[in-house]
Amino acid sequence: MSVWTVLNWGAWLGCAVFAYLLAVDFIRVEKGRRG
Amino acid sequence: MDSSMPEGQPVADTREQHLSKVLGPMHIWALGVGIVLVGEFMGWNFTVAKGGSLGSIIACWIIGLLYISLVMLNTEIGSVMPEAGGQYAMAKYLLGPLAAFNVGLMLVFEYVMLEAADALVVGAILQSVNPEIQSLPFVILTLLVLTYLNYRGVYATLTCHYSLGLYHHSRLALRYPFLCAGSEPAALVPADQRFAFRLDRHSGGLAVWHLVLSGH
Repeated sequence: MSVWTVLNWGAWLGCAVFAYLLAVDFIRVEKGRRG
Repeated sequence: MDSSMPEGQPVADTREQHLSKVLGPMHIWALGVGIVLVGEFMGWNFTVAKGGSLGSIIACWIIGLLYISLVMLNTEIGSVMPEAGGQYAMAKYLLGPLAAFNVGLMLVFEYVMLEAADALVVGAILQSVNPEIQSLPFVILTLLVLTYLNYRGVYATLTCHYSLGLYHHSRLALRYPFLCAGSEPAALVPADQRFAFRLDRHSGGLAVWHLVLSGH
């Protein structure tokens, strides 16, 4: 497995992490807004 | 309520109203310098390729004059508009609601398309480093990171911008003497292309990040 493949998978992993962070933040804000 | 206050009289709100100030001067510096650096990488470099050094400097002078006019116009008009809305507010007061709607719509198009183009450029630049790098995950990652940063607020965005700006500047300052002297080991790059090549490889990625963040 080359370093570029690892980098590509790392980018996908980063996508998952930031999608998760966005979703968590969004749900938290929406819950707070609706009381 | 204060019993001494006469009934039926409107209560004057004596509290001072102002916009909350979250950014410092260094953030504004990073924003401005970032945009200029990215312009150098994304736009001005191409003028040298198309029109040569002389053509490029003539174009820069003309654009500079136009830009100074724009800045003076914005400063003059912006100071008399009782509303914070940029060009949208200016069009609203000077030309009317239809023109303001069009200006607002065009601004939205501009920013949306700028971000899309920036994300694609990040992918393309990374792929130019090595063809085995896939652009798609990095394009998506760019969009997600930017969305998250902006979701956290302008302070987080511009602090990130500022950090990148400092890093970018320190690298350029450290490398500039070597780049000019051509003394860096770059056996694969022809001497006449070395400067541009080095700048592209090492500063281009960061410059695009500046552009991406500035667009927001």
